[in-house]
Amino acid sequence: MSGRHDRFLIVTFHGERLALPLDEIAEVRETFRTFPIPKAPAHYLGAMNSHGSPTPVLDLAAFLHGDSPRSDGTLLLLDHRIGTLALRIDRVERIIHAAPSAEKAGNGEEKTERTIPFNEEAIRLLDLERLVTRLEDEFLRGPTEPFRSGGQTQEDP
Amino acid sequence: MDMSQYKDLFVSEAKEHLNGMGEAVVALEKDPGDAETINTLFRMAHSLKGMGASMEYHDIADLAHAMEDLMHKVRDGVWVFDSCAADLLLEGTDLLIALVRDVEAGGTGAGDIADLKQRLAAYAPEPKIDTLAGEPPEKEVPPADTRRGENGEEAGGDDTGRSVLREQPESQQTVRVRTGVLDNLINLTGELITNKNRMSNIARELGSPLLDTSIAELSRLLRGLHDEVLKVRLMPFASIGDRLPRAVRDLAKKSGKEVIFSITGKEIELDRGILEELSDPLLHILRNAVDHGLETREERLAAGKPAAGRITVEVSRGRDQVLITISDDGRGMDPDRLIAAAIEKGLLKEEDRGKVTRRQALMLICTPGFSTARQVSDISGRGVGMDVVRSSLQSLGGTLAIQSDPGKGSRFLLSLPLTISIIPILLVACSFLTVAFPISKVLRTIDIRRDTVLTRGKRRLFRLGEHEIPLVSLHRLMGLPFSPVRGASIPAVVVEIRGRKAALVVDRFVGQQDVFAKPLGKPLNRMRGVSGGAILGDGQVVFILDPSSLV
Repeated sequence: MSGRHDRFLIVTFHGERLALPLDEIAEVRETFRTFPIPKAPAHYLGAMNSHGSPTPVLDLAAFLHGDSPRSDGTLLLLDHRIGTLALRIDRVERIIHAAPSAEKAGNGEEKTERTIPFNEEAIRLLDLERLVTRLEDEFLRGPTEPFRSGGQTQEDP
Repeated sequence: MDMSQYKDLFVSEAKEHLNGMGEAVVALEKDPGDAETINTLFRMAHSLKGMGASMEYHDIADLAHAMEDLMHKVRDGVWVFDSCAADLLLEGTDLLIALVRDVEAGGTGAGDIADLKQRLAAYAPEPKIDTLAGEPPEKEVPPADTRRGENGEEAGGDDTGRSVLREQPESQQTVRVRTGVLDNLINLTGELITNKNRMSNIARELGSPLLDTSIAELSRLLRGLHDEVLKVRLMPFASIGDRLPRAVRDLAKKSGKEVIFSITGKEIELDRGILEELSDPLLHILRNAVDHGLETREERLAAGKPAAGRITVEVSRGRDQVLITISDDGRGMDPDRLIAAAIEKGLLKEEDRGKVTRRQALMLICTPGFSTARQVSDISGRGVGMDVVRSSLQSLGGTLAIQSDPGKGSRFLLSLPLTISIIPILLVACSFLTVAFPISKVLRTIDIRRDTVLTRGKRRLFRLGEHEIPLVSLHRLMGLPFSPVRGASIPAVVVEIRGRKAALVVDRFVGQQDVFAKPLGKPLNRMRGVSGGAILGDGQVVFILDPSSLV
């Protein structure tokens, strides 16, 4: 990730805050309807119709923390340069201008990470390109668990 | 004057000329006395010089001018075109392509042309030691086409005047369109078809005859629009085929083999999206043909074959498919050797040796990690393998078949759809999942009577004609919970998986319809067995399965 981002979306999920580069988010949606994706891991809620394109919906908390997938909340649709993907989070808190920290050793699933200063907190900046690469690798490795995600058609909440 | 607005046009036209020049040089090498090709090559160099000069790309203009000078001497019969001239002109073409790409990328089109320009200027053919009889060449280069002026431009005589007048209507009827606009057109047409399907669903629920009539008319108009948009996207195979003679020539030179290469059916048209993706697989098959398929001159002579190997590309059109056949008259492939290599590499079990058909054995070369090349050359044996060739074709909705006879040669048969975007699909249901198969991949659908199902060990089969076809659960392939099929019959879709027929057992058939198939973006594009997705009329998202890569 380059240091060109200066506007960030602060979101909450899994009881924590996370920052995402605003220019890598194309759209925020409050309602969505998903359909099953064949052979997809359980952290996918299914696929939605996003402007005529089948778009998978990933429950970020289920993927990063193993939470049970939830079909409520808010969706963030990624910019197509990054991937054709929607992320389910709990809610969008605000947009901030900030300078991200330098890359340093990560505490979570990534070896390195950057943070954004917000309300005297250092909020982890999610590297969306890395996230999409991890998801691609997961499909390349093949299914590792029984199909569960998107098992039922979910109507608009 | 600001010429930047004409840059795209310059790049597009320059590329066309350069493709044509490469093709003409290779053709002239085979037939140095072909006056028409000599004139064509001269004219293209001349045009490129003029275009470069008017856009103030001086290096492009200067290099094209040096090439034009060389061709001028050939055209006037001062020199006979030989392979050294061909090498120089091809080097010039390559350098011009690099300069034009620089312009395309926003550069100035400047480069180091001095050395090549000097070599072109200093070039003189070796004194000709002529023909066996020592006679002067019979075939003198005739004067330039009389309809052209001295420098290749249109002359003003009566005949030329008629010629220009004849050509005018065509030039007035064609325009250049950005490829992005064509992509948008097909996307919009696809969205219209999706929305029409949605309206059809609503009309069924409302039961309004007036709305039904209106939607039927809309369907007719959309079919017409779709057909026209598809026509606009069609491009002749020549748009990629014209580069192949040059590529084969270079490969042959590198490998020290003599190759006679020919293409037929270059005028046959395919969707530009397919053509763009077809270039690399074709080149890979041709590389293999030159490097591994054809024997050395000595081996060929010892086998009683002509010293020069023959490679042909034949393009032909079926009802809704285009068939591209790449043939060589080389050493061919031995199925037994392929099977042995697959067992050695752990790609095939020893106990399966006797079960592999000839056709399946030949397809083993498309298995990832399979290569029988004894040594890696810098021509092939690196980079993409035949597995990538096959998967590229599959992603385009096409198929690959291989025929080969040891000692006689090989044939690679590529079958491709004419268009890729809007395709007829078969929808099937499996538990809560609805998935689609492209109709082109469905051999047939069948309701198998339960009492006709045979059991062989753990496998279940049924007899279709003379063949026993295994039943495979689509539930299992999709990772769905086990769901026993009830009822007197078992619905199944018969498809081909890795060269073998298989009946995929489903819960039920949902129906057929035309859909706008969308490629999947990251990360779903990495899913195995899924070639795309579509939105149905009711807004439902379905995924389109690719049977050949399901297992």
